[in-house]
Amino acid sequence: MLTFTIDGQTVQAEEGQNLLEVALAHGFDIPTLCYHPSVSAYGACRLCLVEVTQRGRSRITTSCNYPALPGISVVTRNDRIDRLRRLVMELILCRDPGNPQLQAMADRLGVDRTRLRFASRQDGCILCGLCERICRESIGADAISFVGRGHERRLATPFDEPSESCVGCLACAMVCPTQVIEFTQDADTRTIWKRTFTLVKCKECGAVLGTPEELALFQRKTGLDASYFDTCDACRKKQTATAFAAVTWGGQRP
Amino acid sequence: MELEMVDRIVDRYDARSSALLAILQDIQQEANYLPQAALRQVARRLDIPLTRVVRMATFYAAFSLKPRGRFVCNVCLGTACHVRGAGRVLDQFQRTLGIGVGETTDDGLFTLQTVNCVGACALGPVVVVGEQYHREMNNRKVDRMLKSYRKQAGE
Ligand code: FES
Ligand code: FES
Repeated sequence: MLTFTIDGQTVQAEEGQNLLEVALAHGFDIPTLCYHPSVSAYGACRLCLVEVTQRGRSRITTSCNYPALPGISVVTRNDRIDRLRRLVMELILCRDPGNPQLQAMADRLGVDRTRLRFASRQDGCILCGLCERICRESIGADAISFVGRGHERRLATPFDEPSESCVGCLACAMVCPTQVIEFTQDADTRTIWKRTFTLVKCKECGAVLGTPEELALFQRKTGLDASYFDTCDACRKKQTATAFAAVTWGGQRP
Repeated sequence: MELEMVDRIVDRYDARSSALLAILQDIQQEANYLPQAALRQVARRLDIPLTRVVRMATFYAAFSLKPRGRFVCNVCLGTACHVRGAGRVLDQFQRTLGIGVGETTDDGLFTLQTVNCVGACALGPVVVVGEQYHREMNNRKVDRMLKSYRKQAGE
């Protein structure tokens, strides 16, 4: 355990935690676009700026990849931080000024327009790489990655072909802070990154459970019995309740 | 594309995934570009995700995922060359060869690329073809140079 202060308040943290997660856990409000608690920090969006003072020296830094250190004092908001965040927001916003999620963040930071123009493309992607990290670190599928460099940098499957390792779990689309990863789903199929998956349904009620590929992956990773993935949460609960009722009340619900 | 070539190169580095960059360089050296099948084989042999291979292969300007011509012309657009008129030199290449940057002529002879500083700023505008450095380039010298490479190819 180590102790330091955030906006004058004394807080405690574990060794190895970053400033952002400590601050968020203590209820401080820090804007982020590229942060997700379940994957490594990447420091792409630069919105999580804070001022850190250590041994009398202070500097502005991103909090998502700055370690909690004993005795430092952290300021989450002041004029300088606000100004820098607004500038950063303008830079991000120029990637796609029409994107609703970016507009919402801009509003929150008091930015109403961007003075810059990013001409190469305006597809809403801010290259935060969260989709890549979720796919690699959490799901373990490794289906997408950054390709190219400079203004041509983008996220894609290898050779822009349907990826063999994609399991169709949609995690990338769900975490995308600008919600620009496209997928479609109808009653029986789901399509993402140009690959179409058939959907597995709950044996009891027919609710969609996911793709066979993702269920197989989750089964392998969790070690749960394959039959666990036959039914949806609600039906499984019902089954369990029925099984327990059978031994508790002789099969009769009270 | 012979995958044996890839295997041979991978073996040279004991299939160490930390040697990925060197392996890609060697493949590019032999095949003149990085064929898809080769990249897939590298991922398989090194037992790493294909995304990691593609990410690296597309990051470095020195790698090409498309077949390239026999003479790869790198026009330096670094700051020094730029102020000395590299833009005009590049235009001349595009006009004379009838291709854009990153493209290859139909006869498979020339590929046009740009680089940002090759460390020979005093000689700018610089054009690097293969291992050869051409200094203080201008439109006339571009035409003369291309002609001599054509002749070389015809021999
Ligand atoms: S959350 Fe820290 S840089 Fe994006
Ligand atoms: S700018 Fe062309 S060699 Fe440096």
